[in-house]
Amino acid sequence: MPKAKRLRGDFEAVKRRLEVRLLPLDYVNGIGRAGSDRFSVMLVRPITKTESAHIRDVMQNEGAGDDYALVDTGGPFTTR
Amino acid sequence: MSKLSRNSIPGKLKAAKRNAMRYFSPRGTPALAGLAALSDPKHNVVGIGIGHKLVKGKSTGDHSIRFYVERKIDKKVIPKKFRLPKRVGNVGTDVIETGRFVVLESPQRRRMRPVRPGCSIGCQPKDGHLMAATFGAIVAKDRKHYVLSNNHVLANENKLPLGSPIFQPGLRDKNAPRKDRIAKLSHFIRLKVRGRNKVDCAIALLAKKTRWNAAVLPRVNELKSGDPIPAAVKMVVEKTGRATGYTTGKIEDVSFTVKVGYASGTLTFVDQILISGDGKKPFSGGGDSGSLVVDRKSKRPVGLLFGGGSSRFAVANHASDVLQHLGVTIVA
Repeated sequence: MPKAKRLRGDFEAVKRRLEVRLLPLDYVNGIGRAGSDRFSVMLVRPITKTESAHIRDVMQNEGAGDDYALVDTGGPFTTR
Repeated sequence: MSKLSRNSIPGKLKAAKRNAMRYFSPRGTPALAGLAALSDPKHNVVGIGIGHKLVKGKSTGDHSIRFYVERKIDKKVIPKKFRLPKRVGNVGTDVIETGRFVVLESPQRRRMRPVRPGCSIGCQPKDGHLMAATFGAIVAKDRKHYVLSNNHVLANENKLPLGSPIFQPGLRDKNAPRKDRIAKLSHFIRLKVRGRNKVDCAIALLAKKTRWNAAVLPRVNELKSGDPIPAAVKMVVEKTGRATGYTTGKIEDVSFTVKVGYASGTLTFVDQILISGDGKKPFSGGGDSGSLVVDRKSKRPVGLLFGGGSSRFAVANHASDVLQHLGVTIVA
């Protein structure tokens, strides 16, 4: 099934699963949407190959596919 | 011509400057600022330094003691006793008009009556530290008017009791708690250290004597409607905040889940708006919390700013969520 179709119905459900798996990681800031059916993973800092591979495994295992964006936000989010 | 750096200033120049300082230290403007009074170096000299002597804007290459003055006055009208010396010791002098130096203060941080969204506001945390952030909007409920901002701005992250005083400007900008009390904390949505948050918001009831104006400070200005418009990706938004003033940005995400560092811990927020700056200027900085994010096209509220990452990204609650949680409407 094409990724876009697979995600359309359960985007929020997949996002919830990704939050559970990815937000505890110290180098992940947040999870968002880049485009209509594409996730973005916001990073606190540039990540290593191992960390990148871990994110890829989580994305694939949770049904998010492998078309996602990694965005370095340059530091943790704090109150303004 | 010898170059002057702070470490290479000759001892005789430093001694001459010290001498000059002793006699002509800046004192400020006299109460009666007539020409004669202004020509008194005690008032007219606003700074003393060391540099090359300038003649018609060009350096002669000679070292000199520089007198920086508010106004360069024709020698003929200056009483002899007020004339600046041609030499200090054996070092020549120069007179340069600079005007009076003032502290560069952004207008949002000033005391403002009537109070207006976009200006400085804050609470008085019990630990005694001074804080200031941004007044988001005037909101209404049951014919009463309130200040809208974040929980962490008005209630210090759930820590303050209802009825606590709110100040404009925030005490960090001007520590005048007796004079600047404008409202009292009346309702906040609790921030949860465990679990998922949707909003960081609070309201404070404006005191009867507090004059207010619902128009956001320039360049956001008046809203066309207080009714929020749903945030959309690529929407161009604007805000006026205490720290960075007026800025514009673009919405990147409307269902963003994010971890945000608070004094009480790292909190998780879901369904947030992610905004990126327009590239010329960051969208937000420390002290912009509470700013109302407005759709530039429709001039309707979109979000309530509360967090940010690097200078590039800022995070805001959806305005509709904030209003729903608090049961209020924005006054346009």
